[in-house]
Amino acid sequence: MYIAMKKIQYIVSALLVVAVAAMSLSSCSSEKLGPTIFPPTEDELDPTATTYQLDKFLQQEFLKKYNLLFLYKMPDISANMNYNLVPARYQNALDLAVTCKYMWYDAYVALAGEEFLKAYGPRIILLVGSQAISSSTHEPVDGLTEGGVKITLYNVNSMDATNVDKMNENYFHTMHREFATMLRQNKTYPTEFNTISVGHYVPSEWRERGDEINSEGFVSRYASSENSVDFAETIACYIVFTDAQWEEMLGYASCGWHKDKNQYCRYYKYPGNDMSKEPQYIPHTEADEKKISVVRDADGFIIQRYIYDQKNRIREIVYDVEDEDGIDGVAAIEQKVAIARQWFREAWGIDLDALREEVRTRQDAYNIESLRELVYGIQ
Amino acid sequence: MKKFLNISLLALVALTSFSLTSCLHEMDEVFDEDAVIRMDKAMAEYEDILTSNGGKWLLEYYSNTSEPGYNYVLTFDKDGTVVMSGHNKWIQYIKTKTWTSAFGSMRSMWDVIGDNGLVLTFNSYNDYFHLFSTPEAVPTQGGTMTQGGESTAGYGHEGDYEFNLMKYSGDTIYLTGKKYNLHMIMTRLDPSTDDEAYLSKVASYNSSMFPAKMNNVYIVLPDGKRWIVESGASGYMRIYPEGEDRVTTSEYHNFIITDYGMSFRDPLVLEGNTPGETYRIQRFVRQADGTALCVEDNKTLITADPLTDCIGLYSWNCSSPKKEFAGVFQTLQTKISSEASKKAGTTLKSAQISYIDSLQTYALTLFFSKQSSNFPARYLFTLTKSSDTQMKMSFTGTSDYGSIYQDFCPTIQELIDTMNATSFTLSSSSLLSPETITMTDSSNPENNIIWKITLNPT
Repeated sequence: MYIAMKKIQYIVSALLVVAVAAMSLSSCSSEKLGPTIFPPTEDELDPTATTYQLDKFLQQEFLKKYNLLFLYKMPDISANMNYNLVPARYQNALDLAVTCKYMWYDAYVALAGEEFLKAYGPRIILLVGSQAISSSTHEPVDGLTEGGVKITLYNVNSMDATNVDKMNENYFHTMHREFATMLRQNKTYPTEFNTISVGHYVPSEWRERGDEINSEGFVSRYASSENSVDFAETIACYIVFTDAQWEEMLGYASCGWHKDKNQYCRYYKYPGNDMSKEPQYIPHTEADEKKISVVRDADGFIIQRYIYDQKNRIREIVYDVEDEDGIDGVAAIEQKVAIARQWFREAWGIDLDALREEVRTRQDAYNIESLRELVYGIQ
Repeated sequence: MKKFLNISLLALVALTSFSLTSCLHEMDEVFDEDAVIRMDKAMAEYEDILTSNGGKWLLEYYSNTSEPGYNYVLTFDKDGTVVMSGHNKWIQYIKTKTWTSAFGSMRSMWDVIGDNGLVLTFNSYNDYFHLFSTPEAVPTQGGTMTQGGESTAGYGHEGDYEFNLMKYSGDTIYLTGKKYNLHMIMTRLDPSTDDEAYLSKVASYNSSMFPAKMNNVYIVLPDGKRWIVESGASGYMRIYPEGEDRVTTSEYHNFIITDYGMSFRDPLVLEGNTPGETYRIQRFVRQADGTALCVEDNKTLITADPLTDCIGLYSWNCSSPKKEFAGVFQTLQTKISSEASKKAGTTLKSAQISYIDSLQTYALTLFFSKQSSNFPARYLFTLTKSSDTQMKMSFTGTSDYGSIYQDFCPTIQELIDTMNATSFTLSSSSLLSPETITMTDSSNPENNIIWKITLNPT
């Protein structure tokens, strides 16, 4: 009897506890939630604000379409507090916003569709006016990708949107590299890529490397910093380089290089063509290489290079520096591109060559004046 | 059963109290409104404060602890733009790569945002303001980058462009730089203020308040203790107690020259004559005599050596006696000029009082010109200072062409006799920066001579 009574006590007690707990929970859940902690965005733009047109453009083209917050009024808290940074100039921010849409987003949409960017595009693009200069190394950073969701573009205030070559070199390149980095952060690339230049990466001293970098199988000095950067740089260079730039780069990759007096040289000569003397190396600078003339055969092939001596009297024959680094630079770069091409196709369903062609077409048609109308035309 | 009911009742009470506790975040008893709404309201209030009454403010801006403060006139507009105007050497450097101070004004963006509190942000680049926040190496004077300049790459000036809004009181907003935590203030300006005229006027005070080569400026505390001021012209002054070791007791403080006077970035706490007894000072108002009086105690003074000590330290020049000699001295210089013209074919061109090192005495020098050559006629004198502004000259002899011109111009002796007999009172528009000193006959103010002071020691 006592045991039965105890059981009843426990059952009733348990029921009471459950009932009261339910009451207490329901009293909380019935409470109204306060306003969202996030800033209001939808249709709350102030039409009298000076930045209304740009804000509306960003809302329409990035926020609503891709859930992308395009931050151009730089809140310090969004940036890396270890750096001293400044906001972007308004006009440059506007130019970069329309350029991002035209050269980057629309190019990918043409190949992969909007859904691709909705799923894998960045959630935040932050524009920073200045470079991010490391106070310890005093070296600049021009772009940063964080967590597969945020891309920071630095040095926006140095941008000249009317100069397509500079835009290509400094901004389109960075956009595509950082986006490739973001894609890489979402889906890994074949580890085979990492084996191509293994042993030749220099994470801390890549800036010190010279013109010989292509012959070591890298598309750029930055690419030689680490394999993941190499992967993104290879993709970015392949996409944004013109045919002439790509061919020139492969040309350098096929050369032998010699470092003489801190200058990289791919040619040398003997003073007065006297081969008993020490060879003189010709620095690989625009000024020095322009002095070199060529003799071609009937088919246009170069059969000899020569340069005049200092008194402009003797034609001194110019010789190629022997490629002795043991690396087939062209093959390495092409192998890397092939892996990237395969990864784009298999991981993302994107034809890298078609993307390249799309970007080239857009580069050729690039006109910042007409792109600005995308913003200025907003009522 | 009774026991069971008691236990159940206790459990019920306990759980009810838990449930009430869990709902206490309503905070009705402490705040009337949700935190987000309160923050929104506070931001709107500050936006109203900034844009109302013409929206014009003076920001006393400091980029770091070792540069002077810079005045910026800010005009906030409700459309989210702000005109930022400044007048300093960095603006001039941006414009022309030279180093004089220049005015610059540009429109950019502003906002009040909530970011761990209220933050005033200037969130689009303004050429003339964000220059203090860029990471590029700070250019060095002369326009070329030195090794030291390069080492500032990554740091720049380290100036803030986002500010925590701390307090608004009496048309003054108290701010703190968000990243580097320097305290600054913004004070409301009359909406009719012309940015360029206002800032140019203040910039002119920069060079006059602490001229580069003025000697012996002091902070004089209420108990008479003097702290010697050095390098005031740099905007980053070195101070140390008079009579104490300069090396071990020196302090360095940056400050800003304003339209009212000057202000140190943070309050200074200086020790007086009695060990342990300190005085807290920060803001100083320019006085009619050019000195600066402390706002906090209305007693501490920034002042310089008395005018009577300026004689000898600097050249006192009178480039046109015809204009700058008055009363009896005007009459005498006219007669001297006439005599020189008639008897020597020269004119009295200028006059100077200085200390002649080689003769170790003071001299009044009259320069007579003839065929583009100057012939200095020197009349030596000793000096008696009876107070900070009172002095007498006692002529003792001649030097250079002194006696020759005395023969040509007998009135020179009359001038010497008159000066010998006169007790002079010295006055200047500014004790700290005596660009001119007027030497006035103490018994007849109509008799005076105005000397322009050359701050290079002779």
